[in-house]
Amino acid sequence: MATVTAPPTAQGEGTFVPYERPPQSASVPPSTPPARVSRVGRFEALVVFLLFTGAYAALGYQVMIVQHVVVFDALDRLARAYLVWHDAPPKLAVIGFDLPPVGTLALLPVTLVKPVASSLIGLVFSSAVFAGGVIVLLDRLLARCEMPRLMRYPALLLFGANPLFAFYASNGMPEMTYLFFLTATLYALLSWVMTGSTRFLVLAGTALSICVLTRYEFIIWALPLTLMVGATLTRWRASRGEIEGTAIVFAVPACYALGLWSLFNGLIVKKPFGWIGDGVGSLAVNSDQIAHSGGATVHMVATRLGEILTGTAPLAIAVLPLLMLLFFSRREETSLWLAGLVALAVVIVGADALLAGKVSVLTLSDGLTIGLVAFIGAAWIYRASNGAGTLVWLIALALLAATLPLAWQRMQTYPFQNQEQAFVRALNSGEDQEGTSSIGGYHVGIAPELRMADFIDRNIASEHAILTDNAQSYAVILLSGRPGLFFDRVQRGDAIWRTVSENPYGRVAYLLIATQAKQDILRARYPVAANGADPDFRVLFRTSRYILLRVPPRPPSLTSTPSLTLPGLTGQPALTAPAATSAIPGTSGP
Amino acid sequence: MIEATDTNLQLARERARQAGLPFVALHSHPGSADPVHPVDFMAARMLSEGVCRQFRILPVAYSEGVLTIATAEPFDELARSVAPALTGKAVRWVIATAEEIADAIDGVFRGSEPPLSGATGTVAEHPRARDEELQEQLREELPADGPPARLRLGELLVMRGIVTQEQIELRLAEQARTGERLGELLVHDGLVEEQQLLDVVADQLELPRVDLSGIDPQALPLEQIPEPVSRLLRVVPIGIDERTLYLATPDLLDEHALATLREHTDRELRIFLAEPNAIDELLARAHREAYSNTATLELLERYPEECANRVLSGAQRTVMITMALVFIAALVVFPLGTLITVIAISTVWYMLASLYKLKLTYSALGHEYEVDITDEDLAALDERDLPVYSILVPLYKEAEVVPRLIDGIDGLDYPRTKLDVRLLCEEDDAETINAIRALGLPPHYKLVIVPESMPKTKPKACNYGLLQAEGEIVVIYDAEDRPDPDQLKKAVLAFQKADPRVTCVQAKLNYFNQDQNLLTRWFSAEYSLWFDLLLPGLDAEKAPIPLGGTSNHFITERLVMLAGWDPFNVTEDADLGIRLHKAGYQTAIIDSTTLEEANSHLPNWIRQRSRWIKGYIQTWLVHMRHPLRLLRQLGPRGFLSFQLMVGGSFVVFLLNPIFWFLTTVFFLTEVGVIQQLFPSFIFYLAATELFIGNFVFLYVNLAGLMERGYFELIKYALLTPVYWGLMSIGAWKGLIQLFTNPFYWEKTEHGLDSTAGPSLQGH
Repeated sequence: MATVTAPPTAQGEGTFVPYERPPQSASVPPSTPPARVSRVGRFEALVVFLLFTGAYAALGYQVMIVQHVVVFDALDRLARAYLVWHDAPPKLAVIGFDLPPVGTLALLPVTLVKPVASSLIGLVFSSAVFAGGVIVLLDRLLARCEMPRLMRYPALLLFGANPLFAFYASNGMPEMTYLFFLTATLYALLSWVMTGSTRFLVLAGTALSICVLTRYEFIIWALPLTLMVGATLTRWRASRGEIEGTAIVFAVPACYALGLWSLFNGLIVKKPFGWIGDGVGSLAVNSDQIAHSGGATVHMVATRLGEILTGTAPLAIAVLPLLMLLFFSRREETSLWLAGLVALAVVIVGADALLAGKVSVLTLSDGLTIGLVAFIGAAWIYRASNGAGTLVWLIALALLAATLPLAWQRMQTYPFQNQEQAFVRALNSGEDQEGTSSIGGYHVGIAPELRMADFIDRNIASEHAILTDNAQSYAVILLSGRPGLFFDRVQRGDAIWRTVSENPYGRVAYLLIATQAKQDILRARYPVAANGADPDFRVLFRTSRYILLRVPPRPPSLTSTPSLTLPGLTGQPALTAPAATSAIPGTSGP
Repeated sequence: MIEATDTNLQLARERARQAGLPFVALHSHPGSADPVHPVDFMAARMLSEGVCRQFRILPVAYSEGVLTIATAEPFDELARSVAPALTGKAVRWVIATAEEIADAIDGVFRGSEPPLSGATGTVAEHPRARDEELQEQLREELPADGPPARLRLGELLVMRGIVTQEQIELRLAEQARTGERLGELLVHDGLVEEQQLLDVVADQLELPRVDLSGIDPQALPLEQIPEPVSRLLRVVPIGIDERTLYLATPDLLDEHALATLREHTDRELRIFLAEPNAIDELLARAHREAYSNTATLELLERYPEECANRVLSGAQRTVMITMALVFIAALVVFPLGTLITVIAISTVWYMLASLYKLKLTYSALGHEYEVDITDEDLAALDERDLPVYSILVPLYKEAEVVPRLIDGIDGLDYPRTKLDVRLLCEEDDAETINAIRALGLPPHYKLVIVPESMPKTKPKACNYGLLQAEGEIVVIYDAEDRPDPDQLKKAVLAFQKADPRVTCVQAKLNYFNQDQNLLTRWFSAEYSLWFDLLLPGLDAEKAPIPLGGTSNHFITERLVMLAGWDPFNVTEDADLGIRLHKAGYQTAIIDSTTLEEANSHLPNWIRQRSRWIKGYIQTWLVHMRHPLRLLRQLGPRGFLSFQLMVGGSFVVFLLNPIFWFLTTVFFLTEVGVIQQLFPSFIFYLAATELFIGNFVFLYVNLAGLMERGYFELIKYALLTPVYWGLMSIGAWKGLIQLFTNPFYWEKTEHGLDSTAGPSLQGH
């Protein structure tokens, strides 16, 4: 632990001096890095990134592609991203306003090439890349905290091997996206505290803005983080103008992101702040949602929080008091702020459950954020604990190691989850999980979707012939690889789609209904047909979750139907649909 | 002592009578009634020994501004014209015998006892002599016989009572530190007038002195030495006869210079000393037309394809007309497809330009790409090694800022005698010219009057000033500039430290009146981004850097080789940056700032901006006359950078209002046709630009302000998009003016900040 006693370096990364403002890094030529700082070079970062990303991608391929543990929430986002490129015509509107947009936008690169998306490899790849990014950033942070390479790697390995982290690193869910941006925020912010460099503050503000649009609860984080910036500057005896200006620079990206999102909501769905209440996650088509019902008392919430904490992030239990101790013993204010963030990560999910009145809101994945912040807190303690760094490292390592079996166990038993149980079972048994069930009422696998997609692909050729509620049948559309066959709610706007759904005769040839999804509009409109019992709608094909019906050319009560032309086929309809953005010519500043 | 014979005396009396001049005896003759005129030792030294012997003349007295000179040849016209010219004094001639004059010259210049009046044996004192003790000492030190020890300048000046010994000693100490010349130090400190110094130096060097103020340039002598040689050697031919060419020069000519001159004339060279500025002025007067032509046409004649004297080349005109016709035809046949294609190209261009700028700024945020110059480097700098530095300050109708300008230049931390400050005034700007003259500036300030000719632009004035610039390094400042006091030294160090190919060192610019109003705040934010992030980013990329308007420091020799600035380009600075790069040179950035006055009045700002945009378009068009050649010269990365930084900038400003208009109309009316113009993928790009690109640029503006430390401006910079709208107004004005009045220089009015302090002063 010699590094903590190193003399002050040009970037203030030597001896820990909590009350001194670091010199601007800009005054340091790039060719003269501080002597004692263990930096992460580009090559090292690339190697770490490739190793972890490769590992997670391989794991994801095995579990998702081979063993069919597919999280439908991720599938929904993948389908939306896919339709952004490949719908007919492509529409940005398909991203929708019911989910934080970045989770979907992050999948755009992996859906550009059709087979990459429809094979679900893109889904695996996306979360693996973000997870690899998280590990690299943590590596950089540990290096900034003066931790030597030999000590960093065991810590990173144990953190990355956490089965809960590994699951989300390979299942395509947005968790890894927001964890990446949260890590970037905290890494950059702490780097700013250490160096005073504008670059890090800008990076932190930008990362936070993306983070809040990946998961809205991080809006609450923005306030304490901004206060932390102000407090740090106050400690540096900055002028009022500097504090004000710096706080603006840090906070303005998040404000802009939320303002813009509210503007879109206001313009298009006429509810500027509707996203605040609506962002509850997509409805899993493969779940009966039974486990997600029920109320929430303080006791229930506390119990579940305890389970999450002890099962997935026990490090937080040690880090929180140590950070407080550090603050009280050394008046090191950043420790206090980090302790506050660890506490916030815990409290915020509990409060969310209490406000929602549903303890089921407390999913196991909430432990990811807590675990991440605790890890960063531990790194800070290591940096600040002059002479006791090794001890801190050993304690952290022990707790990270203990997390592995604890998380493994909790994933098999915790009631509110996203098929973590199926994931563990798949790894345990090595068997295909298709057709099995997982805690939360999930029916594991995508065989029904695949069969329906395959049938459509082989038998239907007409464009826009299948009327479907894409909010429920997204998986079939995605897996078919031919979104042009469908007449979904986005292509020509929701209003036109609803008009057609009321009178599909002669306008479309088929109806595709998700039979188990109560939210399917067509299922609600044609309940008898959805059961395959309407003689006017002949069943062409059905699986356990979908039914494909032939639409008669004319309404059953009529003898003839005038020839109809689909509105909007030759031109763009008026944009009145919900979840539709407008075609807006864009410009940029200089 | 050689006695004048009676015959000689008689002849001399006769010549005096014929000439109507008084006859004097320089020493008494037994039985003679001729008046005896004592030789004033100090007056005698007002002409050099060489002159005295050559013309057989000797000053014998000086009183009330009139110098009495004894001559044996009253009808020697040359002698009678040379003496006043060399001394600059009114001359009263008296006749003496040649023997007595020769004898007296020996006495004065060889240390033998001079001809004395009476028998006292004392040297007549100079009326201005003040330091009695030193004079006495000097007299004692004068050898009684044999060759004299040449007196040093300081001794001469003290001897003549012009300065005191203490003043000399102080300057000698300064000389030891800075390497400056003693005489120049005294002149710059106002202790000695330049003319006085030249008198003394002339005596010291035993060279005649000439006052050039009354001399009109004459064609015949001027023709003997080519103008560039005259300019280079700083000599001006002032007279000629069958055997001799008379030259004025500020200093002794070395062997090389003499050899160069002899390549052009077989005549004997006779050297006269004159003030450097007087020589420059005479050269400028003599070669007025040539200088003006050089300043205007040098680039055009040497590199015609680099000059913006025409807006479009023939090929460009053909291409543009063809493209316009194709566009119109396509618009008629495929209206929607054509518009979509144009929008797609614009959007992609837009996106690339934005991404490139983002890359540059982010890269610069994390690194220091400026040449690293520490306080230790500055402290270790030996001022004796500093080169002469030329400062060009173009002025036009800015009489009111001249005093502040002078205060500012005096505030620069650089040896004054190594400064060559050229105040460039247009001929028709009598007010500014008179204001400068009225100040009676020390000799390192040169008033350069730029003859009236078209185009009347700042670069032409700079070229004119560059012609006579003495410095190894030359820098441009505007009149209201306030550079960091140590900027010149930093630039010198930067040239020493940087790659040998670095030919220009660009200092950062910002504004001192940033808080004046919202416009100046936005302007400061823009400059912070440009100079603190974008230019260092370009520097790191080794890409061509469009230079800023002032505070660019050049190696003079290379700048001259590049033919200076393009007088037809209204952003000659940006253009020169590109030409430097094309020639294989580089530009480096230093962490030193010059504060300027930001435009605080909107109409004035629009005019200035329109000129900038017009210049950028000019620059782009000039260098794109031969795109493939440009690609070879700049390399692929440099070429792309040029397209995105120079081409990208004005295209973005021009496109902005079109896209904003379409967006606004769409939001208000949701007309389908606009939607059709943006098919999905183009829409994605456009939307990204609109919602993310705009914000990113706003954000990097904030970052630039943070980097600069202008925290108070950050909240105002949030309104920067309004400023972009103003930029577009300027851009369209500039584009229209490019075709209606391409070389018109939209003058920026300065002095609008009532709180402005001294210009060019440390801050």
